[in-house]
Amino acid sequence: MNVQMESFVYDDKVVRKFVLATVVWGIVGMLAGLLAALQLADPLFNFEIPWITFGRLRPLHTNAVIFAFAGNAIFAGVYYSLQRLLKTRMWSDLLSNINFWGWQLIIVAAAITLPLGITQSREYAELEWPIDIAITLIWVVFALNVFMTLKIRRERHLYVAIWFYLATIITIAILHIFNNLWVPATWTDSYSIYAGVQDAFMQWWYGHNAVGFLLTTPFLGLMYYYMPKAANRPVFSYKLSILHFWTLIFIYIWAGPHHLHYTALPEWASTLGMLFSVMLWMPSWGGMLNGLLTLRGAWHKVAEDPILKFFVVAVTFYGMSTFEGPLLSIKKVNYLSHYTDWTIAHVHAGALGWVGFLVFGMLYWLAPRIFQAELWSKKLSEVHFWVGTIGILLYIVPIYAAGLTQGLMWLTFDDAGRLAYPDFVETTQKLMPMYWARVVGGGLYITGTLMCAWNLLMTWKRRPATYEQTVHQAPALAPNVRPTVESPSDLEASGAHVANVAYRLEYFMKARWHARWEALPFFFSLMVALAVISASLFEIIPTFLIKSNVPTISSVTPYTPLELAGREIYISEGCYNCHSQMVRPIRAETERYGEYSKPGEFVYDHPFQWGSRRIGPDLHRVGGKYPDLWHLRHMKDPESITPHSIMPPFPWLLTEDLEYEKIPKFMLAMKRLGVPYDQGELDRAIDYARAQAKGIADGLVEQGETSGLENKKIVALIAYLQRLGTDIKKEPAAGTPAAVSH
Amino acid sequence: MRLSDIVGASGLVSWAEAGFLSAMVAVGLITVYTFARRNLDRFEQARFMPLVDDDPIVKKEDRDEHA
Repeated sequence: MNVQMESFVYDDKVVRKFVLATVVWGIVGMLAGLLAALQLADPLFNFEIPWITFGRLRPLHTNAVIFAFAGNAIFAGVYYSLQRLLKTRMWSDLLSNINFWGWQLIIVAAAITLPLGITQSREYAELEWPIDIAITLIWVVFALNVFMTLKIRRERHLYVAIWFYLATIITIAILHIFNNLWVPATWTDSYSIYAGVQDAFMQWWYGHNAVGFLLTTPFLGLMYYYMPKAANRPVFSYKLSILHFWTLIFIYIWAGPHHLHYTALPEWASTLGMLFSVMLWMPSWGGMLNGLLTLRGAWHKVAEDPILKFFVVAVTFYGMSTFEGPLLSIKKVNYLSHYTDWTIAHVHAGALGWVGFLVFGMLYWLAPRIFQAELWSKKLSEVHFWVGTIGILLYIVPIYAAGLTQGLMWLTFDDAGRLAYPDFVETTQKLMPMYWARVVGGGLYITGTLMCAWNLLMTWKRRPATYEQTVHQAPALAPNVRPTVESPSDLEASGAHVANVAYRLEYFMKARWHARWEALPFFFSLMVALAVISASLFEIIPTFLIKSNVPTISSVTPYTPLELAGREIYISEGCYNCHSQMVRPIRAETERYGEYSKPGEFVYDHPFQWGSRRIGPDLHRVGGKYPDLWHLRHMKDPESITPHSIMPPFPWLLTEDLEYEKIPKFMLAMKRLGVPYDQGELDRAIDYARAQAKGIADGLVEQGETSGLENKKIVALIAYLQRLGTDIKKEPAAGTPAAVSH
Repeated sequence: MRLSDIVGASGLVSWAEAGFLSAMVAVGLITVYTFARRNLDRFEQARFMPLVDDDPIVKKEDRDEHA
């Protein structure tokens, strides 16, 4: 039979663009991280410049490295491998280009808005609502291009790497949409539709799975493609890769609540999260072993080949991180590790080791192919590998030590049963040498990245005047014929005496359902979506619908207009990056901070502000703890109030005007979310706010401060801070309008 | 009757248990499928898929020679 061959050319131009973007944004994101590390070692590096203060810089760093560096690397890797695995060019060059330029515009928008303090304050989902919509559109463009490419493919079987890509596309879409349901107040402000406990649950359902489906599954897909290519050996076990894929999909999505142990989240949810996190050991280590064993018989190549070195270390860090993740999810370990730098060390072992090194290995492998020239310097890539590896170790080892030091110092009691280190800043001081070591480690890692950039640049300069377009040939895809099932049954033919049901069962099994699904990408994707959604709903439905999860407290009332404006400033300055608002029911915490936090205290918190780190102390019970003047001077110059504090100064809060006219818009958005503000409160919101501000400002003048502060941002922030955690201490005032009862 | 009444009446423990069991059943089925003998040939072929699409690396000297 004559087979009609079809000719086609791959689109590597888009791959080259994404590679360039990966390197450029990688450098930007890592430099932001280095500056943030310097700021923690010495607050002088905040330079009293609002746009690069730690609270605004940290989200810029995380967004840049996750969505710009890793995101562009994913697109580069997927666009290159998908075309080759499917033996077809991408369906639409136009969509590929929209994907590229749209993604870069989103990154630029993030790089502008985050330093300006325009943020939703949801970790790794800080970008404001117009950018959220742009992300959705661009992701749809990417998905459409991928699915249509699948439709015109010339290879029936979808290689396992493509399964991981599909899982990424589908799950990230689900996570992004349901975590970013908000009500806009202005073009630059919006409120999550969820509040308090439920918001925290959704945030960490997203946060954990963003790590899973943006920093794990796509990179596993890349591993399953690029590692066999680099080693020139097939993957060790395809069976293991399938098991790895499906168990990861079924288990990962449940694990989010382990980020909220001992918080106001219901215990059943946090226990379920822990259980599934521990089960994640199984698929993760299956994948790691599959990666490493792919090199079976080729280990001698690793000594000579820097690309394989990057891959081996990447997979090893994947194994380490996925061992440590479940360990940290165990409640007793989390009791010590939560809010400490241990989490930061864990994250960076995964980010720098697994994601970073896999990207570098991939870039070095891609460069000669997409630039059609030999790599400029293999020696330099070898040096990059060693500098980067030493950099990772110098980063994570001191930060593990810092995390343990913090955790132990916070929990230690002296012989008299009192906190051994009651002054929070004592614990901070102990960390300084480790923070400086991190600066060195991070600096080395960036040095390696710069070497990579230089090497790629020089390789690009060796490119031909015009790129050769290699023409490939493959037969068109034959129709997906349903496998025939022999009849009569083998069992029947053998004369075996079995019940009718056995014949039917045999018939069913011979239909090879999964083999058919694998060749039906849309149906396969539907199965992935069902796995992810059904697992999520098992946790989401009870969390949202069982009222006993969040017992209400009658004395908890909505924020006053001025407090709400102050909360906006708290969010905008990124205070949640350093301060938690969640006192856990642990003696060391109740001794240090006061009464533990109750779920019912957060019912009006859109979005929640529990935070995930304690670079500074918890603030949930800070209301009424210090006078207004203390807060003012502390914000102006923290070190003058708390010697050795590493908190940056916020002098601009004393000079920048409070935008009173925005307050009714904030309240209206809150009202739409069910916060019980009445129309009268909305109409007179500015008057109420000005009256409360004047009271605070007059008090400050009496204590010797200058006048005129009632129009400045600082009074709103003081009002908010003084309100925190005070509701449970007061009696509910019957008949008092909710918003003005303070 | 509201949905929250139904969910509330089913109790928290039953949700967690049902979820856990369903995940375990799914993992069990996947394991059976993965190790089914009839799939071995197909999987063995699939292992090699990334290795059959190599693009050549063009060395600068080779290119200059052809120029």
